[in-house]
Amino acid sequence: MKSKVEHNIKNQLNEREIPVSDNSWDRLQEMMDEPQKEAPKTRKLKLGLPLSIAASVVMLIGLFWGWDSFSEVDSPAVASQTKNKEILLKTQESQNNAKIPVQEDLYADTYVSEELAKTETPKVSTTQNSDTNYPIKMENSEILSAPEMSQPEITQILPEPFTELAHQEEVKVEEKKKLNYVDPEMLLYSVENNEAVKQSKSSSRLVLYDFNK
Amino acid sequence: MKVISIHRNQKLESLITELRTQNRLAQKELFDKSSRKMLSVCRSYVTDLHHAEDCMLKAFVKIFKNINSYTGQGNFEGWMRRIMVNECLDFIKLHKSMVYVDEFEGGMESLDLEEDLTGIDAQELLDQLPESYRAVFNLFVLEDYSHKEIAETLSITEANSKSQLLRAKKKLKELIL
Repeated sequence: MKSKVEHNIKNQLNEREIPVSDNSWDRLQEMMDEPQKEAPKTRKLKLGLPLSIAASVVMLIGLFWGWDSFSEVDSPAVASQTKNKEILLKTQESQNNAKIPVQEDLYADTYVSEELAKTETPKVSTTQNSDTNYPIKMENSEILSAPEMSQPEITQILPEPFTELAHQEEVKVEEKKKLNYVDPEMLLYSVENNEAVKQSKSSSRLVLYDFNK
Repeated sequence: MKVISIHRNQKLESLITELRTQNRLAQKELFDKSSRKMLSVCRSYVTDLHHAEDCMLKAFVKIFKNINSYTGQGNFEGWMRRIMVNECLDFIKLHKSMVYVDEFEGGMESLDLEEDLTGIDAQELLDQLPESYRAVFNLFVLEDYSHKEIAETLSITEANSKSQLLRAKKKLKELIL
C-alpha cells in the first residue's frame, strides 16, 4: 500500500501538464523526415559490409592458392610429378640395364643402336626420310654404297654411359628417324667369324662374308 | 458517462487507424492532444526541461513509427507512457551516472510517508533526490511497477530496487520535514 505522501505525489504529477515549446512540432517533423533520408545510406552499408568481407575472403583464398602453386617443395602435385618422373627414370634404367650390357668394345655402339632400332623400327620405317633405309655410316667407318649421313645423332647416343642413355631414351625418340641401322645378321656373323673380318688398307673395318660356306 | 466514454473510444480508434497509415494530420492531432501530459511524464524523470522535451520528441517518433506494434490490448495512453519512460531512462543511463547501492536495510519496508504535502511542489522534492533514487521511486509510485519489473527495467536486482526505494522515502521524509 502506498503512503499518503506517495499518493499525493502521484496525483500531483498525473494531473500536471507542461506546455511544449512553439517549435516542438517542427522539430518533431524534422526528426520524422531525417531517418527517411538516411535509409539508403544504411542500406548501402548493409550491402557493403558483407561484400567487402566476401571480397577479402576471396582474396585470402587466392593468396593461399597462389602461395601453394608457387611453393614447389611443399606442393603435393609437384611432389607427385617429381616422384612419377623418378619412377619412370628408374624403371627405364632397370630395363635398359637388363637389356643393354656394359660393353666398351667396338660393337657397343652398334649394339645400343640395334636395341633402339628394335624398339622403334616401325616408326623408323614409316618415316618419310628415305635416307634412314640405308645403312648409316658408323663412327670411324665408311659405307660404300650409302650416301654420307650426318652423324651427330650417333655421337650423341654412343659414347655416353648406359645410365645416361637410358634417361635420354625418351628425348631421343624424336631422333629415331636418323638412327643408324645395322643388319643384325651381318653383325652376328662378323662376331662369330672373325676371319671374315678383314681390314682394308685404309684401316677401316669391313665385314665380308661368303654365303657359299 | 458510458456514452461519452464509448464516443471517446471510437474517436481514439479512428485516430489510431489513421496513425497506422502514417497520416501526418493524425500525428499532429495526437501530438497536440497528448504532448503536454507526456512532457510532464518526462519531466518527472529528467530534471532539465529542455532535455525532457527532447526525450518526449524522440519518444513520439518511436510511437508514430511503431504504431503497428500497438495491438489494441491495454490503454493506448499507458502504451505511450511506457515509451516515454523508457526513453527517459535511456537518456539518464547515457548522460547520468546511476549508482545502485545494494544495501537492504531490513525493518524499514513499512516506512510510510504520512506527511502533508499541501503547498509543496512534488516535482521539487523529486528533483532533490539522486538519479537512482528518483528512477526507482517514480517507477514504483507513478508507474505502479513491481520490484521485479523495476529490476528488469533498470537491470538491477530486486534487493537493489527495494533498497533504493527505501532510501528515496527516507530522503523525501527528511526533505518534507
